[in-house]
Amino acid sequence: MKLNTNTLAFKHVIAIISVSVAFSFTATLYQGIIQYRRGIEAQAEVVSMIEDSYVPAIAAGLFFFDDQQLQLLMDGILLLPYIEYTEIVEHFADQNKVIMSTGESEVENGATHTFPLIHEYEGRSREIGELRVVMSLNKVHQSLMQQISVAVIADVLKILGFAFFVVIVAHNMIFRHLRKINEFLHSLDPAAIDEKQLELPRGGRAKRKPDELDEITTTINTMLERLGSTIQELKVTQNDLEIALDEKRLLLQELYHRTKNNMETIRSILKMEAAKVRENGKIWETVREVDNRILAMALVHQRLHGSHNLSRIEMGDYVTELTREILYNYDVLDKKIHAKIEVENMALLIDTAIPCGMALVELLSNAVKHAFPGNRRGLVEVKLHRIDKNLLQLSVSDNGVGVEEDFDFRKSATLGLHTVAAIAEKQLNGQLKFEGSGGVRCSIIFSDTSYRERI
Amino acid sequence: MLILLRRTIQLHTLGLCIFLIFSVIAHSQTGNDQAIEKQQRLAVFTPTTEGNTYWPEVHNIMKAAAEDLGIQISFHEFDVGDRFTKKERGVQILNRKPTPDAAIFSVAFGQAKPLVEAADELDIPFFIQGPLFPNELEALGDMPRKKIKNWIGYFHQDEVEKGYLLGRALIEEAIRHERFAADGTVQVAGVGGDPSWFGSNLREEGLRRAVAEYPKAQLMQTVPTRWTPSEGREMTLRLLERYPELSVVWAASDQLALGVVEALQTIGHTPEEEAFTGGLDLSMVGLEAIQNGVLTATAASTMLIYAEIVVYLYDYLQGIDFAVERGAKIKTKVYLADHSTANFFIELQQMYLHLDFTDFSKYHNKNLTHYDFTLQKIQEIADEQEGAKQ
Repeated sequence: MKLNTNTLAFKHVIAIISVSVAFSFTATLYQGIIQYRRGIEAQAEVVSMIEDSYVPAIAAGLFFFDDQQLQLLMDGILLLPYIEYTEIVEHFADQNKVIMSTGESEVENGATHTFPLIHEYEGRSREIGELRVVMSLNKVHQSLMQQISVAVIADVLKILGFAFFVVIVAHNMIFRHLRKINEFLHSLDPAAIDEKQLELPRGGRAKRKPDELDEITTTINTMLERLGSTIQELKVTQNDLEIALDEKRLLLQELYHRTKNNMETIRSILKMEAAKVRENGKIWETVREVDNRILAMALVHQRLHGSHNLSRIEMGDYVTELTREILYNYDVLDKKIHAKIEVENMALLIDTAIPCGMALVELLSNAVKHAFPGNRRGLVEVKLHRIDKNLLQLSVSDNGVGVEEDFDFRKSATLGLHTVAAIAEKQLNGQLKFEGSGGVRCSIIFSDTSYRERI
Repeated sequence: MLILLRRTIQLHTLGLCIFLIFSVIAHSQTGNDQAIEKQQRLAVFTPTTEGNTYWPEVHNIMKAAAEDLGIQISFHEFDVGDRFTKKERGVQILNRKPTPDAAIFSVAFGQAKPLVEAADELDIPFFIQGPLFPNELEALGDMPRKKIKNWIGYFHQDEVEKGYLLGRALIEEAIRHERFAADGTVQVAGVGGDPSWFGSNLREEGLRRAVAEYPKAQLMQTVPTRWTPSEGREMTLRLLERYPELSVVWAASDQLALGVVEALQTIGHTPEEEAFTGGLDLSMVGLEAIQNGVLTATAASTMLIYAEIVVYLYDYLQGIDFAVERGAKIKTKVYLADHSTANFFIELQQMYLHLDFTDFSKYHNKNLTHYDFTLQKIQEIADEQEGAKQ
């Protein structure tokens, strides 16, 4: 069985155990300190007792060489708390001699207390030796550790028992109901939210006063009823909105369709009128340029009409179709000029797409007119791709004759490049780059975040 | 008919003879039993220690006196190390049938009362050898025949005097040999007896009195013992370790003194030259050690006092009360034996065993007006008895 550590019950147990352990540890530590201090005080009492009760008798025993009594007294001292070792040293004129000893002389952390052995004899005090007693707190430590171990074990058992009890009680009274509430809330179907009522498995509700869980249950059930009503109202509203949106979409599509048709009509009129002045090449050219520009806009509306998205068009199809239409209009497609089109899949707002199409018309027109004089054939490449998160690059390049070295497109009289520069900078908020060696390459770098989606 | 008559007469005669023979034998047996029953019994309770030689000497002279006087004597010895056994066993012995006719108790602290009470209850007249601790004596009524009717006599030596005489003799000997310590004093130590016997304390008191008389003498200390020579040796070795300049080691008994001698010899000292010692028993071993030049002196009453007490008890049992003349409390005279008198006391000790103690009994000597146990009288009697033998 896997332990779920993320449950409230587990956290509850951990909290109880942590707090209890902290309290228990503090209490045990305090107890230990008290015991240790008592041990120190008891040591002092033992020293005092030895001095008062044993030393005079030992002094007499040593003075009278009463080894039996000395042994009894030494054994008695060794039985006192904290005493590890004791020895009697007799002073001679030229040396000190250990007369008797009991206990283990090697005592770790032992403190030696020395008591002079003075016996009064014939009215004269004689210092005949000394009693050395080695005391240590080892026994205190051992006793302390035993007491603490017992206390800790008892506390741990108490804590675990108490925690288990609390968890059982809390589980029965709280956690299982919370889980039930959680399961109930998870099982709610927004579509039929008012069909369910929360009921907690708590007996004897009629007999007892409502508590927090009862209030929560009541609140949730009331909330569900209100939520059901609200959802019902929202459904009606949503339905109305969807109908309105569909109508709007249809209207817009119809608008795009009619705009495109109108533009096609305009193009037809233009072409019919231009046919009358076909011999005037300048007018014919001007009409064709205007037609191309209308074509660029008409294609956008055509795409919008066929799209579900009424504010964006897919640039791949648009750029490809526009390029091919323009080259076709000039009657150079696949005859004099081959087109290579590389466009990333992207959908641009019509506010961006239309200037892009207009710029493309101008650049392709320039290439057709100037890059391949006479019978020269060549290649025109059209590319549109993203160069950064919000930056796009539209480039049109050819392998035609190119321009002179000192050519400055801003000073050039050619109308097309002026128009492209104006579109790039004012409508697309971008920059135009021009390269003229080994053919011409025009690039517009612009952002697709200049306009907001309006539909 | 005649034959029948003769046979009847023969049978009666035979029966009469058998009756007479058995009557004589029976009469004779009854007479012996009566004689044994009349022989009085004396029970003596004394202390002892391992290897003790003093009390056997005492027993010998008491036994000699008892034999001369025709009374049974039994000795019951109890180790000084176990005072409680003496009380219990002593009371048991007194109660055992046939109960003694008289008793002598030589007791240590705490032993007198139960024995005395048992003997008094059994109506056994007894002597106590002292000295007793004053409080014990007071508990018994301070003196014989006052509180306890069967306590007929109390005898003891002058223990203070004994200690004093020996102390003085040893100090004088040390001074004579100029055995002074670096500070110009004669350093004196005492190897005392068992303090549970009051006499031990009195003996040490005598030593102190002797030291006090000599400004050049200094009592370093005394140590208690249980009377054994081995203790005398051990204590002396330790005293000499503590006081290397000791020149007098006073001992509370001859056997302790012999232990002292051993100790002196162990550390290379020559007794009677570098250090001087002596005991307090006037015992044969002590006297012989003086003769051998290892002890300086021994002081005590003679062993005769024990025979003297046997004589008093004997006469008392025969209806003659010694107290009329001697009193119930008898304090015996003490003597000091040194090189000059050791031989005399040895001869005296040997003489006791050959004396006829009936000569000292008023019961056996109706004309004896007073008891005389002086050395002079003993010498006279010994001489008379020797002359009579020759």
